[in-house]
Amino acid sequence: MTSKIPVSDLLAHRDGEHVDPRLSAEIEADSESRAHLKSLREIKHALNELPGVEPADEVWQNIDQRLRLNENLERQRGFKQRYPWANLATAATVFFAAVLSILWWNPGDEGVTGLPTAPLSDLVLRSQQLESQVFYPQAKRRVPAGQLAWNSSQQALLYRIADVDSELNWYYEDQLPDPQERERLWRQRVELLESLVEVQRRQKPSLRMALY
Amino acid sequence: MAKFADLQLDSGVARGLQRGDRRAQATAYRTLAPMVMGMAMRILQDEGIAQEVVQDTFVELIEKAHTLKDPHAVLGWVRKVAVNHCLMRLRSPWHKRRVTLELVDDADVTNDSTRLEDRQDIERALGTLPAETRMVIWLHDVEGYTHKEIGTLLGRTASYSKSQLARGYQTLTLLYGGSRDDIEDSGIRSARTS
Repeated sequence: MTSKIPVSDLLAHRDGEHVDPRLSAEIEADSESRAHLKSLREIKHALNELPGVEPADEVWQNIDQRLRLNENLERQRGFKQRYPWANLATAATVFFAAVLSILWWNPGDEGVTGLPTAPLSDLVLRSQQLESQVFYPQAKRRVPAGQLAWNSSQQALLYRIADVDSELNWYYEDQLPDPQERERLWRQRVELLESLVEVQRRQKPSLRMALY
Repeated sequence: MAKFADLQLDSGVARGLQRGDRRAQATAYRTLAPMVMGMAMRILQDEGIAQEVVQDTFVELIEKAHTLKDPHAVLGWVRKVAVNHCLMRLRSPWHKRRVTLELVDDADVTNDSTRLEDRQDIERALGTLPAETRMVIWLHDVEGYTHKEIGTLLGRTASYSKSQLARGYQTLTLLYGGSRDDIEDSGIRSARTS
């Protein structure tokens, strides 16, 4: 289909844009142009009649997951802003855990140190073992920082561990003699680390794929 | 119909979005996602990338809804964000490379050997156009953007938008409009519609 009048002019006429009245008259007088114009209107109508497209079901799930992840990251940023010394506190707690576990290797020293009873020492030791289980494999593989990002569940657990560590840190700094509270915190730390190990274990196949 | 102008979002849902209400977010998604997906599919011609656009648009909507002052502005805002995400993807080097490869295969769409089997399929006709031309046609003819607005969006002039629209219609007329005339001439169209 061809007409003497350029498509751009026919489109302008179709859309009611400002056009020269002589051009409008020319279109009306020419059957080819009229047919072309009709075709342009039909195409526009067909485009406007196209239906919406339902996205796949997993799109909403992905959105939900991303929102949660962003929330966690936001919370992490907020935590770091509020407690800029949190990393230091975590490191200090890990150091405490290491020192305490070394001390408790020798059961005879318990009375001398005046430090926790056997169940508590077990918790501290277990906490240390779990911690090396979580962090050691990454260090061993020499994965560059940032390449192996924690997923949202792992991040959530790490924040909670950091919270417990802060509490433990305050506890040791203030030297409050409350063995029950101390034991509760260490037990909580062990449980959180166990969850982290479990999440990491489930993730391993995808982790390998990401690495190789 | 796949255009935003035909949509209405309940003001309660819009206010719920502003409050961060989970149910309102899901309702807004159910109402608006098919339009976003429809637009992205027609512009980008790739289901996976269109779904990415839907994801990015709604994550942005939900996270920033509290900053919206006017609840009635939600629809316009979603459309604007979705259009921007489409444009970002069209301009990504990866997308350009993919499109270039595809164009090598579909170089001469008006050639008889590459003519569409189903000439009434406007979607397929649209898919044969260059990405930016598709975007201009969709934004102008369906979403009602002016040439000036499209020119600004693309970092070009209103004349560029007009010329893209005309170029696109030349091909669409051949693939879709022309075919309909042929069908009409042969009497097939009346038989189909009866």
